[in-house]
Amino acid sequence: MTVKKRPSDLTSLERFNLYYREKEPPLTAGQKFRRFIWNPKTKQFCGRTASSWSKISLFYFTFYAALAILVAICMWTFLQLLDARQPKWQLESSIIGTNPGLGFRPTPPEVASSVIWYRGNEPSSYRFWIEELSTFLKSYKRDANKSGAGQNIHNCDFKLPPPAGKVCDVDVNAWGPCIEENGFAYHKSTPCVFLKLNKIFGWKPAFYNSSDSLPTAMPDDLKDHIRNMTAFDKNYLNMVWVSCQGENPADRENIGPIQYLPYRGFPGYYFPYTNQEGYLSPLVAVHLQRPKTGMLINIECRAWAHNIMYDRHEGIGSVHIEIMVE
Amino acid sequence: MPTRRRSSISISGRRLSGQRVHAEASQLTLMREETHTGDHFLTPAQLEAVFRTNLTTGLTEEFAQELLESHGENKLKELRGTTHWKIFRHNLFGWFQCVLWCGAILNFVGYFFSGNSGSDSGHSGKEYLYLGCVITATIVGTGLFGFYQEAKNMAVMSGFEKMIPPNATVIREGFKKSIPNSQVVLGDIVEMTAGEIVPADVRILSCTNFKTDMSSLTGESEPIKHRPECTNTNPLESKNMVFFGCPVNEGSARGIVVATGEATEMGKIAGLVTGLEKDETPIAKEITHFIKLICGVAFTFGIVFFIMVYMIQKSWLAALQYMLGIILANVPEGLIVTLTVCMTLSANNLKRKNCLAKTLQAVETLGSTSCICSDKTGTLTENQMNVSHLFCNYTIYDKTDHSHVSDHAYATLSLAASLNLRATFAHDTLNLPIEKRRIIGDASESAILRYMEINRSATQTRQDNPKEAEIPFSSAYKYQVTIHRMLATHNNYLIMKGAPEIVLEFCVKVITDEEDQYLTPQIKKELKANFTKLANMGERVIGYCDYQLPLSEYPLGYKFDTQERNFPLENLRFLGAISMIDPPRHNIDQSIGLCRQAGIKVIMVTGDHPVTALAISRQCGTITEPTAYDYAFEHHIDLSDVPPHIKQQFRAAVITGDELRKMSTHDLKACQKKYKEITFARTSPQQKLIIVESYQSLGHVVAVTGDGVNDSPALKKADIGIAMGITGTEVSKQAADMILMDDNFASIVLGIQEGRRIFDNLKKTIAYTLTSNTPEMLPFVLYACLGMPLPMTLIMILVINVGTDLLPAMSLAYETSESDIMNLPPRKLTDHLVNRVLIFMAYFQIGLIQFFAGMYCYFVVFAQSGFFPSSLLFIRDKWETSTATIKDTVGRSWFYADRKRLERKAQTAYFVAVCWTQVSDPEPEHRQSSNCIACIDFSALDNNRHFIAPNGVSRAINTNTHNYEVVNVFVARASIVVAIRNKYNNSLTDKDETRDGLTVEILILECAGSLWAPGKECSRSTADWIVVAIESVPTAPTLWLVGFSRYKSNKAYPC
Repeated sequence: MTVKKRPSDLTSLERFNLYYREKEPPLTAGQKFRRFIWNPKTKQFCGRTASSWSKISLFYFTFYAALAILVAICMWTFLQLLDARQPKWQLESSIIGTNPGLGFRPTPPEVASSVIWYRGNEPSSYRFWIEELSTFLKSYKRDANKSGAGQNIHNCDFKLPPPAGKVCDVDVNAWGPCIEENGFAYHKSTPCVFLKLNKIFGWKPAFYNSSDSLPTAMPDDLKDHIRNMTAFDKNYLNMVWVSCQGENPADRENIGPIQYLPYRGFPGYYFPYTNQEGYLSPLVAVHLQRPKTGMLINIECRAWAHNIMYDRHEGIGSVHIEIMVE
Repeated sequence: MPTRRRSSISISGRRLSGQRVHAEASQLTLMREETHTGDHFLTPAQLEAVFRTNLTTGLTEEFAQELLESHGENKLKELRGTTHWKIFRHNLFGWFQCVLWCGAILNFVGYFFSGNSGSDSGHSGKEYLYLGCVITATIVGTGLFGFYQEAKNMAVMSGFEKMIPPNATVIREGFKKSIPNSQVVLGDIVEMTAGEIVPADVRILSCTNFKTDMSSLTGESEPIKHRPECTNTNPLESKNMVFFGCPVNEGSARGIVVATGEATEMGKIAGLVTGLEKDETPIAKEITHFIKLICGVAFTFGIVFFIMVYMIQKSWLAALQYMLGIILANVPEGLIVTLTVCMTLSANNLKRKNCLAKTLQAVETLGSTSCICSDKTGTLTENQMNVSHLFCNYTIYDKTDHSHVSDHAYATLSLAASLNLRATFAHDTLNLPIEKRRIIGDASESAILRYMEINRSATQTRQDNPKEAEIPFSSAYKYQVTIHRMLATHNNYLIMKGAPEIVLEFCVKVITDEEDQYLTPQIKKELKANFTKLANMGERVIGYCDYQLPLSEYPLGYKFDTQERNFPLENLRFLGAISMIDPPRHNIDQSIGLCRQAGIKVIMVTGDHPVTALAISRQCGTITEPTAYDYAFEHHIDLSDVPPHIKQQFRAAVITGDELRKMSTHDLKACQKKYKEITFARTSPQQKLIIVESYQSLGHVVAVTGDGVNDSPALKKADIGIAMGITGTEVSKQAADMILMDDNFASIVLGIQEGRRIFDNLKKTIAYTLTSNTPEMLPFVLYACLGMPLPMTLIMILVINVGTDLLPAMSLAYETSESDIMNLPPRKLTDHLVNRVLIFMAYFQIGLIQFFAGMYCYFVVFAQSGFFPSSLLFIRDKWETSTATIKDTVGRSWFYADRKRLERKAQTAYFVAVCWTQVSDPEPEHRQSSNCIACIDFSALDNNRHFIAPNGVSRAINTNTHNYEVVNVFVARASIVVAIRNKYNNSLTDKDETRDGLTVEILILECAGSLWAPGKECSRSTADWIVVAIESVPTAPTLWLVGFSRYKSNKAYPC
């Protein structure tokens, strides 16, 4: 202090500021940063003291915990109210709709692909497909030890629809050559492909109720087959029919004869699907008996019933399979 | 001397022209300086030599031509306001707009990117394209809207053109001739007569009763009477200089041109106004700050996300695309619309209140103003002289005091004042009310006439008692005499008026109500003391005296000869005096009070005399505390004799231009910091500019109000210049950002309120808009990292940002202001529009709530359709493959088209949830952030109280050792109130107490926002804050009880 002023010359605030003004040299950027990270004077870490940090973390912890609990309670309540066995929106009111799609097994390893490709004389090239099918069909194998699901299973027939709460059996042995023991006939260059109708909750197929009112688009061989079958037994009309054929004329030539096992369709007694315990989707094994080797064959399989719409581009009511056997 | 002078002219001329080519900036610096040539000191003969002219025959034509070529035409710089292009650029390529442009370009980049590589990031190329287009449309749309709004208010206003006369009369080669004004050159001999405009800066050689109106330069409304002699070192105040652009009121003169064009005083102002650039407006600064923050946030999230995605997906391209999405989610596309609309609404609101904002941002600038530098004449005052006091019978009467009208002395004074007048009402305005009539005559006569007409029907009196003879006023003898034939007494009556000290010398008697008294030195002294008193109130005093001419010697019809003076002019009777002032506008003190209450400094900057300025400051309320002038008046001493230690104590000051000239920038700043209340008097336009800049460098946001040409540099430089719509000159309106259409200072207060409201509302708007960023961003995280179907698409982000959010955000602009908005101090520059707290709240609190709400809806939709939450994890690749089927929880297989439809349903649910939570968002209450400077440790509220100052120092106050106890400590609206009670008399006190040798001083500085006075009660309900300080001896200030005030919060006070 150069000029000694009388204390009364100053206001008290000025006097205070005289004594308590902090006199610090200006800091460099680095020092400022270091002081920001850890300020030993105020014991601040990143601009906050320990207590401040703990308070803010406590706040956010509480806040988020409360938020999480709130959401959890809501979710839990909601899930409690939801029936896990059946969806809220079914059939017409649901988005999935009433139009079941077709799927095939084995599925290729790439998600987007639909090509089944292997060399007939090279077991390692088709081992994948066999394993894929085996895993898929595992649930279809009747296991005596497996209780619960087994009790539900009922041997159905067209005359013997399943009682309520029971599901129909799928007979693995009825698939003829397309069985695991036979390597699904892949080794003979006559591969089997399994077709499966996508499950739609509560969906009942509207069968063609006479062999005369079949749609015109239906392949002739299927029409003939239906007529033959229904002539034999009217009950066979209760069937979702399946047809597979080459997409292009060349494919139709290359594809050779096709065998559908056990029936040429999905028997009606498997429907409707209501998420029953142990329900097994009916399968149709499509056995290509003499496909031309070394050619890529485009196959389109289609399911037939009154209430199955068809659109090739959208893949509705049909499935596209490509097979190449070398 | 003449030779040196020539060389200096040529050097400066060359330098100037050189700089005109090279550096516009340094030329501006030159203009800022008040360069004085000293031409007014020179004798005519010297002038003749310096300017190589002839005083009688003038310049030769060739030499004039040569000069014209070397010095350029006598023209002012074209005053360009903000051009349309500038507004356009500003509206389309401002900071914020640039960020949006970047966003748009990023989108287009994203479009081409995804077009090449296939969409993997959840957005199709088209979405990027749409987003880019919409952002572009938003920028262009709002830009054009803002441009239209601003261009609309930018009516083309002529600048200086009006002030330049078309022709000038010069003498060249001995002949008088009229030439275009632009042809006038240095050294020309010019002639000017009444009604003309001064053609250049002219040094007067000879004149007769020559008066010019210099108000455009000095702000002084009174015409200046000129003389050929130099009267002041400052050319602006020297009577022998007249300046370019000033109209000639009376008389004629002959002079020599000493400066032309841009070298003239007016030219310098024009150059300054044109050359000065404004700083960024506070709101623009805030937006820049906001953009920095938001970009920081966007890029932080973007990079974090980039790393995260790269770790998971191991694909640079996908990670880049995700990052792009995140960054875009953070760009508030709609905010620009909201900001523009909010500001337009406010601007229109103000326009309805006669406050025209030329730019949209001006309104907010007004709100953050912390210092108003106001011109006096025409802004704070009416720019019209009015009678304010009458003095007679040893008493000073106020103009409104009519109770003494019938008193003898008062009546006589009124009669004399009514009769001795040269001013008359203009004939064509006689039917108008008296206030509106035009008066022919000078300002003080007009004032008297107006006052006398209103109160004493002067016209009637004058008709009844016709004027017989008159000696007009002359500066040589400084009085004016009229002789009237009186109707009542049928004699001739002589009245003299003039400067009171002068007329008093002619008197031997003085009138009183009882009888005439003879003047004694004692009485004379008393009278003079009264004159001084009036003069010290900043008023112009005119004295009156009379003489009843005896009928015997001067019968009716006597021929009075004013040349011969065949009547007596001595032994008169002194009647009294009338004082006049240019009074403050009606209710101006209230407006200024409101400004001060709002924590805004109001500084008067005027070209007028310090005493007048001080008086007006006091009446307006810009100065409330004593100044050195008051001390000088009180003790009847000269200002320079006021002892320095007393000078030190004043908190208010009047600083004149001359003092300012001696100060360094540092000194000025020190002064501005030291004095709470300052009035600057006798300032030049350049000094006004310096004052404004100095306040700006102290961190103030400065508003300047003014009406004259001399204010325009300051108006231009100020953060917000406010011009007067009625009295203001075109130049000032051109330079200003805001125009008060009704000249009402109260509009400024409204503007400040509006500006503060808009800031608060913008804060709410931004807080509102930002909250939706989190729910826009997190879906990508879920999508990329948890493989869930995308809950939110880019298009939906767009719809939220520029669709559903717009109207609610705009509606916040209609929010009414907080009730105490005008009681808070102005926003500190560190108090940002968007700060970390707001960002944290928007992103991590409200945003998260919205996100969870959205996700809940999303899950509900999926679960109701059979996809339970657990089945949604890590299915992204399959989900997006059009050939794959996906099994839901119930076991159904979903095809691409079906599940995409379901996904859209879920997205819609998410979107609606976010919108809904947005609309029902608890309105973020962002008040001006509390500047609580001290925290109280409430746990220790015993007699040893701990106060923790923000610097972390905690001090114990042992209040037991003193007579005081803290009775009440509570937090009232962000400030802490400490009530201190004297234990013994139970009162809040300011008494000094001595105990144990300690001087304890309690200063209750402020209570409920105003100065605390003993006896004023500070109850809990009224007290916003009390600033309390207890102090012991200065050497050991152990006992400080703090000041907590929002005003002084940047200082740390221990307790």
